[in-house]
Amino acid sequence: MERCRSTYPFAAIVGQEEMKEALLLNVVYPMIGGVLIRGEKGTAKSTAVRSLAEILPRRMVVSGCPFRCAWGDPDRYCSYCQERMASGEQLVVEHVPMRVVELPLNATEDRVAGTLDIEHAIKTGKKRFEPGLLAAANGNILYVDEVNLLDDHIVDLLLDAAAMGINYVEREGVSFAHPSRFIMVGTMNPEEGELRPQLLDRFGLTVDVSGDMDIGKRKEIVERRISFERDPDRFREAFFSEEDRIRDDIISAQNIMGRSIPSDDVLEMAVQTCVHLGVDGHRADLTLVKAAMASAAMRGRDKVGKEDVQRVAGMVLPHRMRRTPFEESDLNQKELNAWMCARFPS
Amino acid sequence: MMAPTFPFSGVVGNERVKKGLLAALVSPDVTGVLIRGGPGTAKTTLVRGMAGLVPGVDIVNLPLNVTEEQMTGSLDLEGALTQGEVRYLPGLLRRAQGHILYADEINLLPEKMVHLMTQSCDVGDGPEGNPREARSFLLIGTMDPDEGELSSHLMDRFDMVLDVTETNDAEIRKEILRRVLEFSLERSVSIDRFSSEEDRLRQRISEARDLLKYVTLAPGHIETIAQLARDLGIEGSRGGIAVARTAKALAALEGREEVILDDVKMAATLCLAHRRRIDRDQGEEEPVAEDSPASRPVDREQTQTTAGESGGMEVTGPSAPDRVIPIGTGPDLADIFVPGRTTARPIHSQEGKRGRVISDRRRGRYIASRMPTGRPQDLALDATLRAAAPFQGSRERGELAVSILPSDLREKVRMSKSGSTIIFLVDASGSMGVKERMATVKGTVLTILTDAYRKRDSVGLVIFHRNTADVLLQPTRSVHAAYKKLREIPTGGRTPLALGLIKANDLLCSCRPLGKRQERSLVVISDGRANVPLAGGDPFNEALDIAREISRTTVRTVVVDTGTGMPRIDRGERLARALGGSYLRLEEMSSAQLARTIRASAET
Repeated sequence: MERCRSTYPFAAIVGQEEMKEALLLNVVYPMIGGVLIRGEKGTAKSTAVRSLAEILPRRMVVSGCPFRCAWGDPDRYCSYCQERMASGEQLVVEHVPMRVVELPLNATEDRVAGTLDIEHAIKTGKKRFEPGLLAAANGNILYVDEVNLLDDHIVDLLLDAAAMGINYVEREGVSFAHPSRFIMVGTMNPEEGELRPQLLDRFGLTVDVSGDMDIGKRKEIVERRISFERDPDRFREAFFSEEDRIRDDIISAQNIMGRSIPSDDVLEMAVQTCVHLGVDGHRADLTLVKAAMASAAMRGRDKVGKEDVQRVAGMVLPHRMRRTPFEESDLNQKELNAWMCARFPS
Repeated sequence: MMAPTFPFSGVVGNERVKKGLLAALVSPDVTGVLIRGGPGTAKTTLVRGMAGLVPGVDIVNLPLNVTEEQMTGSLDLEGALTQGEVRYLPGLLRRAQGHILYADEINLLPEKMVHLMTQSCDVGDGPEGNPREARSFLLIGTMDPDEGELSSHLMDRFDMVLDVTETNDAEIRKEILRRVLEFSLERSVSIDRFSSEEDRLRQRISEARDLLKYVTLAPGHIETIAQLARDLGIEGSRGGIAVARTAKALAALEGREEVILDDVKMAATLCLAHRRRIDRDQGEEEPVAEDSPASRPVDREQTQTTAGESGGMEVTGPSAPDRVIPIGTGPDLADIFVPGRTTARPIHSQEGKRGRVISDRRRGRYIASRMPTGRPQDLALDATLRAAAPFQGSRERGELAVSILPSDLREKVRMSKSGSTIIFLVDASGSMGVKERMATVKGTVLTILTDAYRKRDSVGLVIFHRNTADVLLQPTRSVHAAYKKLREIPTGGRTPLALGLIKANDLLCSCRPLGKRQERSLVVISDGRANVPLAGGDPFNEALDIAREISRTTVRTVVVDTGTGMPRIDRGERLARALGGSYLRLEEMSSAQLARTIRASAET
C-alpha cells in the first residue's frame, strides 16, 4: 500500500476512542451514513480523518469505470458499465484503495456536481460530462472540514446525492446521472454556527471530541507530535504494524458484516430506545441497528447483541433528539446506559 | 441510471399518502402532487416505488442543480458546433412527458422554476373524449417543511398535498426496520417478497385506468364538493376540481363506476387541506388542524371520516380543536419560559418576502444566463458557446474550433439565499427585573433564533443598563452560543436608552450586508423610560434624536414596549415613530406570538 509522506498515522492518535470507533464503523459499513465530528479547534479532528486514508482497505470496483462502480451490484452500475454489460462485454474486477476525497469550502457547484467539459466542447464541438467531486467520492469518504460553514446550495447538492446515492446532473446542457455513494465525514466547531437540521440528520453518527484529558496523555500527544515532525518517516514506520493490524480488522469485519438481519430482540431494543428518547424518524432506528451490526463485526461477531446497541447508542442518538435543542447535554450517556440495562437485561 | 427501488407495497403505513399517489397514477387529470414530511419518512421511497406501477411510466429526476435552460430546453450545442445545424435540445419538462417528473426538496428550488413546472404539467383540459392528453406529465414534489415552505400560490397549483406521518408504535417501527434492513442486506429476497403484491397493484391500477372514463360523479356529490370548498373558505375553483377528479380516481381504484361519499371525503382530505386559508399566526403551529369555525359539517354521516388516519384534515366533526404538531417541530419555546399565555389578538402577517435573492456576487446557485450589461463578470461558458454555435458556419475561425465574438458572451445569473441580521436591543434596567417580563423577552429571542436555522438569519444581542450598553452577543447563528448568553442577562440599574441605540446601530453597521438586499433589523425591547443622559440633555429626547438618525438608514425597526399598567405612557410609541418602525406591546402577547410578529415586521 502506498503511503503518503506527510500524514500523521491513525494509530498514533492518542485517546479520542469514540471518534476513531465512529470512523472505523463507517469504513466497515458505509451504509451507516457517515460521521459528524464536533469539537473545538486542536482536538485532532482533521488529523484523524486525513490519517484514515492510510488504513483504508482496498475495495473491489469495475475495472475501467470512470466512477469506480462497486463490484458485484449490477443494478447500481453507472450507465457506462451497464452499456458495456449490455454490449456483451465481460466486466473485470479491480482492487483500488478507498480514498478520502476532500470537499473544500470554496468549491463551486460545477466542481461538486460536475459539469460540461468546456475544453472538450471547444476543441471538438462535442458535449462531454466532466465529473465533479461527487463522482470522485463514489465509494470513498467525502470529507468536509468545517461543514457548518459550507454554502447552502452546496449542502443541497450533497443532500440530493446522499438521498439516493445517485448524482443527477441537469446543467449547462449536460444531462447525466452517475452513482455517488459516499461516506460523509464532517468536522465542525459548534461555536461557529449550527448545522442545518436536514444535513445533521443525514449524518449517521456524531461524536463530540474535547481536548481536556489527563496530563499524562497530553504529554504523550505533544511528544508524539514532536517526534513525528522531526522525522515523519521513522515515526510512521513505528506504527506500520499497528496500522496494518487495524486494516486487517476492518477487512475481516467487512467480511462478516451483514450476513443476517439482527434478532428481534435487537430490533426491539433499538426501536424502544428511540421511542423512549422521543427520537423522530425511522432513520434513527435504522442507523442504530446498522451501527450496532458494524460494531459487532469489528469485534469479530456476526451476531449483534444488546451490548452492541448500547455501545453505539451514544453516537447515533444525540443529534437526533431535536425535542430538546437547548439543553446543556442533549443526552446523558450514563442515564441512557442505566435505562437500557434496566429495560433490556441481557 | 436507476437505482433499485424499494417496492411501493412494502412501505408500511401512510395509507392516505399511498392512496393519493395511486389516484394520481390512475387519473391523467391529476397533474401535481406534493408530499411533505420530515427527514427519513419514506417520502422519496414512496415516489421511487411508483416507477413501473404503470407500464412505461418512469421517474424523471429534477435535481436541485438544474439550470433554467436545462429545464426548458436549449440549443443543441453539439449539433450546432459539429454540423452547423440549429437543433432544439428538449429540456427536462419535455423529456418528462408521459412520465413522472420528480423534484425532491422542491421547496429549495427557485420559485420561478417551481412555477414553470406546475405550469407545464397542467396543459389544461384535453380534447373531448381524449382525457389521456390532459396532462403532460405528473409532477411530484417532496419537501421537508422545516427547510421552508412553498408559497401558498404555488401550493395551490398542486392538486394534492400529502403529509407523511410517523408512528411511535414500536411494533410498526420494528416492521419498518426489518423490511428496510432486508432490502439493504438481501435485496432480491425483499423484492421477491412483495412481487405478487406489486403485480396485484399494477393490475388494479391498470383496471382502474380503464374504468375511469366510465366513472360518474352524481350531481349531489358535486354540490357537496362545492359546499365543502365554500365552507372551508377555499378560493378559486382548483380545489373543487381536484376533489372531483381525485374522487373519480379513488372510485375507479375500488372498481366502482360510481363515486360514493367516502370517495369525496377521502379526496377532500387529500386535495383541500392545503388550500384552506389559515391565519398565518395559527398556521405555523397548526397547519392542518381542524380549528376554523367556518367549517361546519356538510353531512352528518361524515363524522367518522378519517378517524385513524393521522395528520389529516378532518372534513367535518364538531370543533374539538386538535393540535397537530408537524414532525420535526420543537416545543413552543415560549412555553418553557411563560406557560399558559394565550392569544391576545390575531396577527396577520404576509409571507416573508425575502429569502431568495439574485446574488450579485459570484456565489450561489447558477440558475440561468443573461446578456451582460457591460463586461461580463461571471462568464457562463455553456450559454456563450450556445450563443456562438449557430454562426460558426459563417464566421472566420482560423485555427480555432469555435469563434466567439463579444456579442456571444453570456453571464451567469446566480441565486443565493439571504438571511437577515436581527439585533435585539434589550433594556436590562431595574424595571425589566420583573421576572416574567424578561422571561418573555428571552423566549422571544430564542424562538427567533431557532428559526434562524431555516431562515439563515443571524441574531445579535445588545443590552443596556446602569451606565453602559454592551454587545452581549455578536450576530450569530449558533443556538448554543446565544443560549448561554441569554440565560445570564443581568438586570438592574438605570436606563441609558440613547447609549443602547448607538451601540446597536454601530453593531448593525459593522455587519456588512452580504448582498445589496440583505436585510437588517433592529428590535428594541424597552419601556422607553430613559433616565441616563448622554450629553446632559433630556435622556428621552436624546434617544429620540438617535432613533431618527437610525430611521434614515435601511434598517427595519420594531419597538416592543414592556411598559405595563395604567396610566400608560406613550414613550414606546414615540420611540417607534422616531425610528419609523412598528410598535408592539409585550403584555399583549406570548413570546411565540411576539417572535412571529417581529419576524413579520422585520420582513415587510
